[in-house]
Amino acid sequence: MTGVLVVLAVYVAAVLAVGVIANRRAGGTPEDYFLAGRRLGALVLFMALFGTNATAFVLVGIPGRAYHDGIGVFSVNAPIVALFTPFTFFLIGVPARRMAARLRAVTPAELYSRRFGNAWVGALLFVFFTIYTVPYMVTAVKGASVVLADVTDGAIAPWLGGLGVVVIALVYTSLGGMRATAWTNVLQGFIFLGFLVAAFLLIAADLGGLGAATARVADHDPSLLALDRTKELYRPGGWISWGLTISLTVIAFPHMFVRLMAAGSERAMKIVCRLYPIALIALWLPPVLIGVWGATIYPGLEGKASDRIFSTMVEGHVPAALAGVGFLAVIAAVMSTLDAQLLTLSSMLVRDGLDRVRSRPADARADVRAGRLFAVAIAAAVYTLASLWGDSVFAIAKVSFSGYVTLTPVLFLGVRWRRFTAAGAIASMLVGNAVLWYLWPGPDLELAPIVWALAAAIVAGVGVSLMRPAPDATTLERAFG
Amino acid sequence: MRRSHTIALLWCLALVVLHLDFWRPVRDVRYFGWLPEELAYRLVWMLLATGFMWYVCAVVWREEER
Repeated sequence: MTGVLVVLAVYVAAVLAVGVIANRRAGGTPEDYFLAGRRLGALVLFMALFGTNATAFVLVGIPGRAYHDGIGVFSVNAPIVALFTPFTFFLIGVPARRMAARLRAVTPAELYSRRFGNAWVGALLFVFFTIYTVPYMVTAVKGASVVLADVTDGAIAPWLGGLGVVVIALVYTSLGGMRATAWTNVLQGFIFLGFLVAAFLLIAADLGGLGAATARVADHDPSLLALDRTKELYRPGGWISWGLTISLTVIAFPHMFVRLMAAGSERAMKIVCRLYPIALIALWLPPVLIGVWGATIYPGLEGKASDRIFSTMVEGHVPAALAGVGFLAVIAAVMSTLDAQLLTLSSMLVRDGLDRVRSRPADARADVRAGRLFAVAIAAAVYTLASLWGDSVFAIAKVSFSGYVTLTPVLFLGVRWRRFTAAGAIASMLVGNAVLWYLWPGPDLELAPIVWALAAAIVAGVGVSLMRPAPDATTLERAFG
Repeated sequence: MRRSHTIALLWCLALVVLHLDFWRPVRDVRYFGWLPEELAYRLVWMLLATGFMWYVCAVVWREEER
């Protein structure tokens, strides 16, 4: 218990120190605070994107699912994410970053408002980003609070753990903005990945090596080593639907998108795209195999007990000193996503909300001050919702991934197709989301609602654009150069 | 369309087709004494995806700044 608190205190001191250092380097302009002056280098950019992508779900949900489904969990997720996450960085992120620099846009919503010369496009994007991001943040806070209560045997009550995570992320985010969140993500990414890989190697060694561990699974339940195509997720409809969802959703996370806008150079972005597929093997393989091995050692677990299989395996097969800091990997993963979400939503509230209703032009420092205040307000709202919302939030968060996908036609066509109009963008978002919500959770369709929603969003966006006059040449010239 | 774009497009389509591998039989085969065939197939696929991204970055992606 004392050891846990010492480790926690050292971690908190480290991230706060990073926040203070980032604050001293800040220039005081919105571009500097919200986008780190558009100067993120390759390592920081990679860890910022990867850290944001690596959530606590990797240590909880994935091993729990692999415990029941076997290595199919890896097959259905890792390869398609490894291909399309960096590919969409190239297809959407690169032109978006170029356009944002030309238009001096600081947020994704502001970028698309200026691209179309239409404030409604940005306003709608902002609304949908918020609707889909807040439940996602609430689930992260709930998850962190449970982990902290668990590892301290209840000494840190869930209300206190959740509050602590939110306040610490808020403090260093407010101090140093994007620079602080990106730098802390480097630290958090190393903690997370380091622990994951170390746990994997130590557990494998404790089981007698990879061969012995696999042989044990083959004796116990060989179906865990193959893909069971009779299960819904692995049948063609489920496979295609889920593949489409996870391959397109990451680029539409506003907190990922904005980090691409903050890249210091295209060279840095190329390095990220080259490394991403390999890094995803390191991210996905250990938790899946640990979950599969766990099924042979602790058989018969159900529900939350099987969701805890990763920590159960760590406790049983990793030296106590390392197992004792395992919770830090979960906290680091939660915070590395939460800080980015806090910053991105607060930046959109300032740039796409407050600045539009102000009667006089915004002062740069006032924007940064307002961003900090909005971050406090969002943190308070998320913490309150985490306290009030029951498990239903997990159901809503499940819709989030699909919801983000309905926005990808606008994100893609907006930066790649000059003929795409504001009316087309608005129609695409409204129709796509209307279809998604109408079908969710869906009549018994072979393909999930997101497939139909995505198709509807594309048809509406392209169809309405072609029916409307071409966009104004001056606006296009400003955006596309 | 430039030749490099065509190659990238075909490479990407091939990866998608290979990911939709409903035709592939399920066999209880293990490589190197521990690696199940299912996992080996996905890992090789991911190496091909890595190659694809290296190709895109090296050939298709023209930087606007240097």
